[in-house]
Amino acid sequence: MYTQRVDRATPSCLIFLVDQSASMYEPMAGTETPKSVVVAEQLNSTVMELIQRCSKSHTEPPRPYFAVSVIGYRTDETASAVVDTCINVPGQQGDLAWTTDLAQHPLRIEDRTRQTSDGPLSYRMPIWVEPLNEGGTPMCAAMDRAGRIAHSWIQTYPQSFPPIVINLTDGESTDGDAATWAARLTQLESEDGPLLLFNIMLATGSVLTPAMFPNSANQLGDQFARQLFTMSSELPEFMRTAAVRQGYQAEPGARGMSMNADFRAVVSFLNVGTSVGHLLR
Amino acid sequence: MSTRSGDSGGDLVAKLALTAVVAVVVGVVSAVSDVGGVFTVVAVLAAVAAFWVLDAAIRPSSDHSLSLAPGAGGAALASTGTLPASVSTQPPLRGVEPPTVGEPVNPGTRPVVADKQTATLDPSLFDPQSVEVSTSSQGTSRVFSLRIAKHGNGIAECEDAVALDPRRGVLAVADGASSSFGAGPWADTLTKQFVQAPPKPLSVASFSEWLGQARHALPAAAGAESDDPNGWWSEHGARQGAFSTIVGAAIMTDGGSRVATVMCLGDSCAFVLTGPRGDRVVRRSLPYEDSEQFGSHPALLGSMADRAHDEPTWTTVPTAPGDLLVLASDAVSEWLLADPRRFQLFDGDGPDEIAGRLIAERTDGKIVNDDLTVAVLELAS
Repeated sequence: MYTQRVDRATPSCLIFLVDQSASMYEPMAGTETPKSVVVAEQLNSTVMELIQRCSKSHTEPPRPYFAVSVIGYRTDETASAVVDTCINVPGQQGDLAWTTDLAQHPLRIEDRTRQTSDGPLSYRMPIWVEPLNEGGTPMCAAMDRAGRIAHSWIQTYPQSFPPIVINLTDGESTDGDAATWAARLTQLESEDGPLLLFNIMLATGSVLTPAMFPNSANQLGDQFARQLFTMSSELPEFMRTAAVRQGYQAEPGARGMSMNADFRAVVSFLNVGTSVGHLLR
Repeated sequence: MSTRSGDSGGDLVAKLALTAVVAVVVGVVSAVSDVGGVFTVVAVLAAVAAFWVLDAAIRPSSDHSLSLAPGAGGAALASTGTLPASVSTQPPLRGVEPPTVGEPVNPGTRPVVADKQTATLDPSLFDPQSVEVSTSSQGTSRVFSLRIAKHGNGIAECEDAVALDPRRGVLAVADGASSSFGAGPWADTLTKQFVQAPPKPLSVASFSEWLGQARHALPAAAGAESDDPNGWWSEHGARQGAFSTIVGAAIMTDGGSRVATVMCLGDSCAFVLTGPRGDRVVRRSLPYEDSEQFGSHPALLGSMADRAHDEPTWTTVPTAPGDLLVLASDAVSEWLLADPRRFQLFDGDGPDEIAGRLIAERTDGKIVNDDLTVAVLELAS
């Protein structure tokens, strides 16, 4: 289980569910940047890194090893759920876009500079996802959408590593019991194992110690945190190892869950949750 | 059609050609300089002699106590007739002499390329487009290699590489890291560099110098950035460069006996199999002895200049006539070590049979879908 390598015959599917509710405009804990901006930035970085893993040489476009979906969820002025893809690139099939097509069609490419141990490094940063914050948190509808995408994927690629769904939110569902929908999602499975659902709850305001990759609900404070624990899949061993490598005490049985996530937690969580890229050998 | 490559074995031809060129140049010089015919003849003979001396001089010295066995299976090698009791009896690696001696016993003896027919590759078993087989023989010994691309890929996309020189008994297998940029050409460069001029065993300085030469030998285009304005995706890869494992081995002489000197870096493996065909046992397995030892983060060599690198391990393994020296990339090695009976794979007749079995096992899911590469050298009885 959870051992299938990623290649042309058995590509991998990653679905990101992004809370776009109004509260996502509030600053990320420990920063002055809106949570929606942090999330969009980190999703763009994650998609960029996945594409780089598919790049073999300058003469060949990145290969279609990963199909990526970014689904935003919010409500409109009539309180109706708005659940839709945040990515629209030519060649996209429904809500899923291949790394090959994503590489060719970012919304734009920004020139950036970052500090490294060797001094400032200029690089190009492609942008696919823009921040958005409006209305409520229809998480159940978003999980329903993810289920449809994943079900169709598994029909097409039954031998592939199962779809990975990563839900980034800052609040409780406003359209029902998300745990019910999470249970439905994780009943889907490929021949390599059940779908993996990971949940990250972003923190607002003062910095709290994030609960990262817990292996028991007992150590979690409130009812909501325990529900999030129930909704989150256990990390496959290679992901748990990746979490340990990131500096977290992810014990056996650790779940793909984070409460009170600050900026660093978001970065680490996405690194661990998408470490299926290491199955590309 | 599958693709095949044979040992080119062009040393003697190259020597003769160069000698002819030298002779012609000397002849032309003497003709235009208005000197007598006798002098011209002497000058040509002197030039030829000088070339052969020069040629010998630029080759690494052969007077090491531990030296490459001329013709890995050649008759010149004394057979001890008995197997060493155990690997603990392996002879000490004296000094750090480079396994770089390449003179065959008889320079006129060329490797015979036994170019088997591609028709033996059963197209119902696998796509011949994804397989490359190379066979040759030296004396009575067999040497062959095979590369099989991942299911769904053509052989041009295979990021494993293999190089061998049956005459000198040197071979190498490298496994380019798929998630790096230009991995295939880098693996190819590393194997060729090893076979052409391996580093001195146990010498950190020599390995560092050798790696520098390999990095220099890598064609610049292999890791270049895309010139497509939308080619942002090549920027990071071109800066990071390519990564690869390597396992290399050289058959050498130590006193009267032959030993295999093996260099390992990463999870590509070397096996020395001993005993009669049908009853062979694993004398030594390097660097791993158990399939549980394979992980997802093997040691790797990077292609970028001046970057820190892992050090290889060096091991000297005694051999006996008839032993097999097998190098294999990780997926094959892991499969072999999971069940020692699988080493019977090498009791068969050749690479086509092995390729068929490996692909069948991969189709069954017993071998992960990875590039599969094997190089086999059988020491002459």
